[in-house]
Amino acid sequence: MKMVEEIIDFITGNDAVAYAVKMARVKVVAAYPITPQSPVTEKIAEYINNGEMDTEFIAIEGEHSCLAAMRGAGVCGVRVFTATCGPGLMYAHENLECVHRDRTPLVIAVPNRSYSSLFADYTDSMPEATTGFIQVFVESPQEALDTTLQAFRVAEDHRVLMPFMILYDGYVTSHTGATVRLPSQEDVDKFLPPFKPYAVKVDPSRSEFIQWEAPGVPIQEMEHEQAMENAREVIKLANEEYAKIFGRRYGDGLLETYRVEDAEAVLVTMASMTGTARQVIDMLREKGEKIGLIRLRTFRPFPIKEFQALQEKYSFKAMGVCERDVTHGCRYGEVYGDIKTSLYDLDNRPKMINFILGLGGADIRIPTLVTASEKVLYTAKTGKIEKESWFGAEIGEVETRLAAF
Amino acid sequence: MSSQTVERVTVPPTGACQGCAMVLIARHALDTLGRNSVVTIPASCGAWSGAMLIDRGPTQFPSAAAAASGVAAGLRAAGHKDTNVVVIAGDGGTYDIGLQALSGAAERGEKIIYICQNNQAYMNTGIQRSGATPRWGWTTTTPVGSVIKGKTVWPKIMPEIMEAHHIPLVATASIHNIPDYKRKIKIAYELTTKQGKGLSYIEVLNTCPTGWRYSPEKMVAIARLAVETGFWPVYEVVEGKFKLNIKPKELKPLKEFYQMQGRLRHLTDEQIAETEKLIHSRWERLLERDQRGY
Repeated sequence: MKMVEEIIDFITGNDAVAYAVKMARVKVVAAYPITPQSPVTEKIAEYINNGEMDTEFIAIEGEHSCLAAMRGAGVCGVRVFTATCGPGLMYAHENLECVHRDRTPLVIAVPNRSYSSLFADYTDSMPEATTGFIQVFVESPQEALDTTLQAFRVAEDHRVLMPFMILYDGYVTSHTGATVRLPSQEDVDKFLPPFKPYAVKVDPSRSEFIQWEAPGVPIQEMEHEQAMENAREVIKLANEEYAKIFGRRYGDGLLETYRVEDAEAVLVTMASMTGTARQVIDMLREKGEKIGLIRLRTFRPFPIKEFQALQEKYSFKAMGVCERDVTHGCRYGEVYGDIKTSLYDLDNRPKMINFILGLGGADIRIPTLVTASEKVLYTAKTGKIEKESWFGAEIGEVETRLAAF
Repeated sequence: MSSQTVERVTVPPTGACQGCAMVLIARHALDTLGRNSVVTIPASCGAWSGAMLIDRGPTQFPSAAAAASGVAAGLRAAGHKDTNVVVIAGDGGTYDIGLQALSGAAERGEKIIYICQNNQAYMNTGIQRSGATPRWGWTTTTPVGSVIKGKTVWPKIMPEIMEAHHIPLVATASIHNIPDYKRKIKIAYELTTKQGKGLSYIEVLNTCPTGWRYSPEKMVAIARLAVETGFWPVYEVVEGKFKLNIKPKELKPLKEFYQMQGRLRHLTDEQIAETEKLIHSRWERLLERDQRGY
């Protein structure tokens, strides 16, 4: 239970993350500016310069170097954090790939940004789907704050020891103000104890030199997979423990469902589009349509069993997967592929349709999601699929451009 | 620093080629600095420098100085205040792919002792040209063809680029004068680790029998000749104070040095003369600075 009442403030997703980083008593932060991430690190720099955070801050000269510095600090056995997105995340790819090999529980905040515009889609983070990062997509500034705190706890758990990426939609969540409950330091300390490293690789105070022997790559990769396997349970646990203290819970930590009871059709959504989708579900439910919603919160490790369990429980006839990314040459997105793989072995697997929406930061609006839902309902009712994957532009999505650009 | 106790940090055997100067460069730096050190070695011949009884910082090729910045911050955060944070990188990892990270670290005043072992090409990956390869020099990517013979442009002068970063120590050294090199390592320890004044940069010419095409036993002789011809001036800039450490009365002809190496033997007399002209004008400039003291 909470010991201290939370302060309620109106802040952006970026500020919410920065607040959580302060509360987590992070020891080393390195960062390089990039839109729309910059306010996270600006806020952290402000905390440090005002004496509110006792942290080494490296204002580094690029994201590739940034992740290198995070690796370097991580092996010294201290709590580390950074934030980047879009082209910056892509630039850092080589060193991102290395962080999980060190088993450094780095937490990195990523307000998703397209590689082809300033606005949100998942073309920046999807290439990292295979790098061994835990990836959690959050919906709101509040969830960004809560998940940042959970991230340290999950990543630093000795059963896991894998880096953790918090993903939230650039601008939509990163720059939009919302009411956010700010937990007290006292309560955060209760949830998140100081970092206890499993092993400190770089420690000059050791009296004897230790030669670290890493297992060969095939064994290492197998161990990482086991760690990711463990992460599923640890994420669920962190979600529950967090709820016990702060009263906020996000589904089971992996998936969150909305009005799925008796649903024949279901939409799968991620991050901020979920709010709009809930409205659409309500509208269609009022018309008597049997449709529900699953929000994919944890993308890596992928909730394979959890998807199977939901399908076995509710026997959805059709599933529409909405995502802001596309695997060119397949005409579907990463998430669609992963869900389809997860459900393939079930006897009562649903018919599946992919909606590739919001690319380049295009708004995902009610009419688009209504059209998508209608297509899923049609398939649920008739068993027929008009087309397996739809681009937003094919179902009425209009690209939104700021006048300034 | 524990140089007085003569505590070895590097341990033979190494995986280096016979007659490789890099082994000496790494050994004398780390044995001088002692066990309270962490070393970061990016992809380079340094990867073959054998076992070391100190912890290694992890890094990828382009980011040695950035990774070491992280190690330095991590160590401070973990309560280790007086540990030497060392980088030993090659010329590729310094002049070319590692330049941005190094420049950033130098500008930020990171407490890193950065040693560049310069063998003037990507020797570890098969002798490809780098930003440090001499003009007209042969490498596998600047072959001596029937139309184009060797590298067509001048190398960078990296120590001068580092000087422009206002760091406490910029120095060059040669493996034929180890006492001078060790003295510079000690200055780096004093300014960077002990006084925390920022990054120290020491660059050593790493004579390379494999890539330069000479017989391994000539290692020290070649290094000496590089200095005596003015090809590799040995100097230091300590907190802005300049000193030319080795001053031959008269520079030996460059041809003597070039003819000892297969990579430079094909140069015409005109090409050698043009190179010599550049070397001599730089030498004059260094003599002037030496006299002026800054």
